[in-house]
Amino acid sequence: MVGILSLPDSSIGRGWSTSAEEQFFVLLKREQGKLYRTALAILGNEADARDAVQETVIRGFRAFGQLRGGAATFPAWIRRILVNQATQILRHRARVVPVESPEALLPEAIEDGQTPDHSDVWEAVRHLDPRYRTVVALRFLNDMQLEDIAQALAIPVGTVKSRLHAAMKQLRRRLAQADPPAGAEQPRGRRAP
Amino acid sequence: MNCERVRTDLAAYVAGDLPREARDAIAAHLHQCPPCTAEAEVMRGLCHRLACGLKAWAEVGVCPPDLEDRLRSAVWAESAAASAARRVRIRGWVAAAGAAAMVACLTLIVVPALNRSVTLPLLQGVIRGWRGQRTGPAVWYPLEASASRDGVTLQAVATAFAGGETLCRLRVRGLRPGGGESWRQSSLVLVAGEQTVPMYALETEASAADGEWVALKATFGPVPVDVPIRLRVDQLAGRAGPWELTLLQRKQ
Repeated sequence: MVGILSLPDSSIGRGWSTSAEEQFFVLLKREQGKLYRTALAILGNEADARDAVQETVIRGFRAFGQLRGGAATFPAWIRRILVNQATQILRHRARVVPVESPEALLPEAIEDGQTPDHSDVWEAVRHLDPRYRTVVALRFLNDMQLEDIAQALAIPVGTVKSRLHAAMKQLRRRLAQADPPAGAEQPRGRRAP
Repeated sequence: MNCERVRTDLAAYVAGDLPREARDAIAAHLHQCPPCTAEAEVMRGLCHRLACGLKAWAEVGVCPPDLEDRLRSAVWAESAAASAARRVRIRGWVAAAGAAAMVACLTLIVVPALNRSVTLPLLQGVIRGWRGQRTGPAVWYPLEASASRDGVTLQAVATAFAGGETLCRLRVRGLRPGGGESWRQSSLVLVAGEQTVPMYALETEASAADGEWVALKATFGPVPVDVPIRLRVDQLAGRAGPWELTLLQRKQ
């Protein structure tokens, strides 16, 4: 298998004779796993997450020449593109698809085998109603303010607030159930999807 | 402000997302309501746990391998399309009349193995493409693809050796197997350095789904690394597009 070139941070944007693709790939390699999971958290299913990441990468590459600040700013920059893309998919979905049952949008099992810590939080979040899960993902994973979430999803701020409230009630209950009683041994492994 | 109203907004309050007026009102209520204050502490802990937990979960995310392939393919396609569009624009300025005489489509697929396919968009126009551009984790380093009255020539260098045969796939519109024009084995010639690479097989196939598209698959022997190769397709001489030319190296 042929791997991509591994460039030091200092090579980015400092006149190395590497192509734009190679520079982009090096930076993307570090972020693509995070981008995928972020998309999965916002969108709730693998197919949409894959589409969102692919479209993000295309848009990112088109605009790569305009990136200022070099490698340090790439993660936040590409993540912004991803969130825009994911919320665009959600807006489109809201126009063409009636509200689906949470079960219909549950993500498939994550097969990467790397869910060491905090998987209890994701397990609780992924079982939320999709409308609640999206708000939680945008707020706590992407640090978006409620007003920005409302704007991105094209819904009133009050609706975002009430969804957040409902989500927190459910999450509190789910996480309390997932937590071991005081003194009990911490359970290992993940819940079946 | 009553407790019920406060608790509805408590998540937004502890997340710091309320406007000043609403925030002050809740703060005033909390100051004189111990149960709501305790509830706010619980909510603060929950917000913190969610933020940390979700970020840690995303941090260790792994991109599915097939998606990674898709992403790379998409970037190459984007890059190739942009380069081709640039060149077509330049050529349009220099030789508008000549360029208008022929419309061809060329897709160069650069993949290390048959099981990793890349689809580049059909590119309208005569392409002299990808000179000087590496193509990431690909085995081919395309130097030039040109179309003329003598046929189409693709020049490339294999930058990695997959160990297997070299495959050339050509899709052309307007040819039907068994009828009209037939393809000669001699119409595809692969030369590595000064040596002609032997052709092992030549197959023609057409699918109903493709309409008039006909695929021609030629299997050549392996080509060495870092030796310029030229693939010439005589029978495309003067043929209007679109057509696609694909070069692959079979992984052994």
